[in-house]
Amino acid sequence: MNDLMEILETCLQELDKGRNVESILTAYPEKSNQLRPLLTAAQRAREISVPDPGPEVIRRGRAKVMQHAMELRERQPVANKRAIPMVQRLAFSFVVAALLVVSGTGLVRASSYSLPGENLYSVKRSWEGLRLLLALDEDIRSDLEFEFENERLEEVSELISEGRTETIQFAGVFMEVNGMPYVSGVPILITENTQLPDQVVEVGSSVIVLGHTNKQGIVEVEKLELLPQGTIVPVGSPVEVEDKLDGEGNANDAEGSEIDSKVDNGFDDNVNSHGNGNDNNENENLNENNSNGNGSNSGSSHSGGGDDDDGDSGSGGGGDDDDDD
Amino acid sequence: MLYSAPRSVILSHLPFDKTNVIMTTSDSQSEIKGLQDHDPKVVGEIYDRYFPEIYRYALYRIGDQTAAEDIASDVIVRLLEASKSGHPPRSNLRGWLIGTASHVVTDHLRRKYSRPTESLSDSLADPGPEPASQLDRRETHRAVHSAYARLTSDQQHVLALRFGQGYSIEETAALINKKVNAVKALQFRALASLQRELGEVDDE
Repeated sequence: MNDLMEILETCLQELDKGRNVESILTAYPEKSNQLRPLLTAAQRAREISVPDPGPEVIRRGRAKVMQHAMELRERQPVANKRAIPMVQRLAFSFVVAALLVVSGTGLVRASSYSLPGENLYSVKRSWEGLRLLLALDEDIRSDLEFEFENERLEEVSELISEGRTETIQFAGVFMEVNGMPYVSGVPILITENTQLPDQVVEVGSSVIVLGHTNKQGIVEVEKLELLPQGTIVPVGSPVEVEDKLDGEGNANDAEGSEIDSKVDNGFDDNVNSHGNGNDNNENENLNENNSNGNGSNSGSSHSGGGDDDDGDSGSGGGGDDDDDD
Repeated sequence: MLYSAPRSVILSHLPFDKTNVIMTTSDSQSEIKGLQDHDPKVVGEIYDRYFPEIYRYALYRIGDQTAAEDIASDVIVRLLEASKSGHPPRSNLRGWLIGTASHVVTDHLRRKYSRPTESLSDSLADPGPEPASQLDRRETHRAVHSAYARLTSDQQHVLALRFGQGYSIEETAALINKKVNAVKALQFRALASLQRELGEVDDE
């Protein structure tokens, strides 16, 4: 039997060289009846071999693989950048633990309303760091991370409503309303000094904003980074201006409407300032109409026909116009 | 789910230069390092080098171009993920890729047969007028595919490597991490089964 397997392999190699079955079998007259069907089967097996993929198939596969590689690559540095190194984390938590022993949890409670730039802010962030450090369960940790990201967004909203200038970093969804950029409802200013990612930042992308708030209530962006697609980030409050506008604005509105809109007033002011800075008078007018709340009907004159329904349903003033959806 | 990598193949027992087919360990390792960083250049090179081969392997085994295309890119994505999660192939990248492709194909076929829709050979059929000789050839292909599809996974695997990809017996042995004699035996049984199945197809 072993012999036959060896002979079969020898015959297959002869077949590879282009010889035909019968001429190969003349060397093995005693085994030719056993070998012939096997060599025929080998020929059949070779006949169904397939050609290389066409350029279109290669291009599609390449795009898929490279996209995946990019996502994996981005996931890594983001996680690293945001995580505090282990040794520092430990040192950090010891300091916080010591603070807690000395001062009790009152300090932590007091710090929970602090904003960037305030004395107790570092205690607030340390406490968050400690909670993350102690969260061993991956799910609990990601819930906490999301909670803290929401906290960052709220801090920024409060800073801009108070017109304070502080360095901030927060994550959110990139949107455009009336051609103005926002991240999760926070108006942002992109200048020529802003570091932007290589890829185009599309509306709806999750991003991290590094920059500072200014007196006009806008975040001046120093660096805008794209997060991997699908990263969960806070959506923020709706931007009021697009209530009377078309589909894109309403889509943002719908997203935002799930979140408590406690900073609406701040946004109206901000958007006004934003509009002024860019000489966009139509924007400004719309904002004024909006911030009046019940002035929807006069607002509709700017945005063309078909808005009468909106005007009626939007009489809540400042609230989300869910009827649009 | 990631499939575990086959044990690394000992290259030194091979009696001839295998650099064409089996990368040297150092090549593999520099590529694996680039993979861990998801260096686009390395990923691109690995894709260019292996995608056509994995695609042909998958297409030979399942005879469905769309599925073969998906499987081939899926296998390379699995390699990226394995490298990221710290379980990259330690050597013999091609062996790892082919091994993974074989698992993915087997999974695909299992799912396909658990909810059968069309026969394997039907997916190759392309209705429309064509010359009689071409029609004959297509019929023969369908018959061979149909017979091939009835072989065991191991038998299909060895035939795909030996006759679909055209690897030598030694190359096949290195890729599937078996001894050359074991591959000769497997090949013998696979061809005998194929011949038997072909006979039955002819009888139908």
